[in-house]
Amino acid sequence: MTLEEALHNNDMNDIMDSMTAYVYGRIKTIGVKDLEGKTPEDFVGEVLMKVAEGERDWSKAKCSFKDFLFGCLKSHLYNFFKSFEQKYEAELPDIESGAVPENESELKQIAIQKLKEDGADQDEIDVFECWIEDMDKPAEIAELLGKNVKEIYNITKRLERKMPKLQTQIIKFV
Amino acid sequence: MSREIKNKIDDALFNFYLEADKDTIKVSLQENIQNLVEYEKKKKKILFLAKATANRRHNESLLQLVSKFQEALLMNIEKPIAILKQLVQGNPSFALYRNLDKISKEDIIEIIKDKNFVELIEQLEEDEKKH
Repeated sequence: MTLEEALHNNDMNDIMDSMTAYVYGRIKTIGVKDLEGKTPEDFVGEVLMKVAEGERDWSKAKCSFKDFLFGCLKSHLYNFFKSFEQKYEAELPDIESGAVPENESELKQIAIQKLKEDGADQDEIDVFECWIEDMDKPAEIAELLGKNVKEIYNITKRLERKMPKLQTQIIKFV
Repeated sequence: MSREIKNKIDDALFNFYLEADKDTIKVSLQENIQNLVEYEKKKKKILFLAKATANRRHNESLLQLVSKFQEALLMNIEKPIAILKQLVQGNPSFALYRNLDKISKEDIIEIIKDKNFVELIEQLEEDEKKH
């Protein structure tokens, strides 16, 4: 499918809505307030123009157009936020001595404890554990937990709101 | 947070927005965007510009290809002519174009218009480098 066909045949309104919602989500998770005068929609526009100009080459992609655009957006945001994340992490207070976890498993337990303290319910903990175990697709998680995928969307939204705080609490554990 | 856990969270949220249904996305946008009318206007503008740019590039590539094939036919360059012959022979509806000597610019456009321009340009450029 050519780029013109892809832009014409896909429901670009829906795809752009999903992309914009993703940018808003990323901004919240990272905790950045100053986007250097840009709006989340601007990032979506920049990515679409990069694709239209051929800077991001759709003709070589082996996935759906939506997957391709999302991949481009993820990379675009990664480059933009890289400098913010370094600055943000550097400004965080040091973790109390003696609290540094020895391994990934211990860190996971601390993260779960912090989520519980922040009011996460069992559904949120279950979904978070799936993420940590590399199960990151809502449909897969729904199947594993025996829930409707719509429920997983709702749980994910609740969990997403807790991510900025979780990051500030344990972000310095490396 | 360890990079690994942080990346896992990022990947999970990426997949959530990639897969989430229309209603979930709509609610998410309503929570974040104050002026949805302005947002819709901006979205239309972005899409219009992207489509216009893609069409402009498409037309430029088409003309670039046509000119390369015309030049090849004029100068009897083997590889581009072989590519064109292959395209004509691969499609029965192009029987009229079998005689490449009399082929016009419009005919070439008809033959290549549905093909992958990027691939064709790459094939031709590869051949140019060899000569």
